[in-house]
Amino acid sequence: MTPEQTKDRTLAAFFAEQAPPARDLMFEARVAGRVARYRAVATVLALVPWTVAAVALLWALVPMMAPVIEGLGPTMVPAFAILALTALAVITGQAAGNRLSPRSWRVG
Amino acid sequence: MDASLVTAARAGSNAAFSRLVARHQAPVRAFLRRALGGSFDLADDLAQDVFVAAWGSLGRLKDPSGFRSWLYGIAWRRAQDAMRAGLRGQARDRAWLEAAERAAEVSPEDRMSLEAAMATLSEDQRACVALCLADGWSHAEAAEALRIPLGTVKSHVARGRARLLAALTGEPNDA
Repeated sequence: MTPEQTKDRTLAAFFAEQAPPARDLMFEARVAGRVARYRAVATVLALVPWTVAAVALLWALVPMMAPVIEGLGPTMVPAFAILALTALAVITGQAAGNRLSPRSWRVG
Repeated sequence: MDASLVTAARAGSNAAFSRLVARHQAPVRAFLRRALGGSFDLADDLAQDVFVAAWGSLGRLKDPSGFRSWLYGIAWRRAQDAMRAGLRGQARDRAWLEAAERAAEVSPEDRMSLEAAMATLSEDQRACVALCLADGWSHAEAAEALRIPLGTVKSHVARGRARLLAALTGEPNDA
């Protein structure tokens, strides 16, 4: 081996010392955790305007809806509650499935 | 592969983004360790910031197939910010302690010489050396990622390599 080749080999070994393992679950988990926190904050912030709009709409509609709700309320409230919970479960399940399913990016 | 993962991650897939992190974490961290010329911990913390920033701006990536260059561009800008913030001095102190714990494939004298030589390179030279010499990138790829003219990258790599090899023989090199 020539001196030049020896130096090249030493240089390559020096660079190789600085390379982390190809797979590092701790690092990946830390990144995933930070992304999840950012996503949670972004989701809450994105919901704020919709919540404000919904509250304003309900506040405007209450005088018109009050007589109807008083009449139908006892009968319809359980049905509406079940429908709302079912819709929430379906939407949450679909969103979680899209985020976590590997099928969405697998190729071939 | 990156393009389909980026498309899925943009659509909200955590699994796809995790796969991107798994594919690129090792080379990005290695690049930052070499470019910062300092502590592995600092480089790894910065690498986390890089991936979080990449997640936040995936929507602005024009060409999903250019994800790797784009990611290294973010890493390089973060590294420059860290160096300007004066973190390198602290990092070198920690690196000296960490070096003592590493595998002894390179002799301590050679390692110290090479680390000293790396520290004398300019930021741009060090980044070019880290990508082209250590990671095997082409000059054109490095030029695109670092936003440095191609000719400058070539001269940075040649001069950087000459200086590192000179450091191994103890020769003075003013390149």
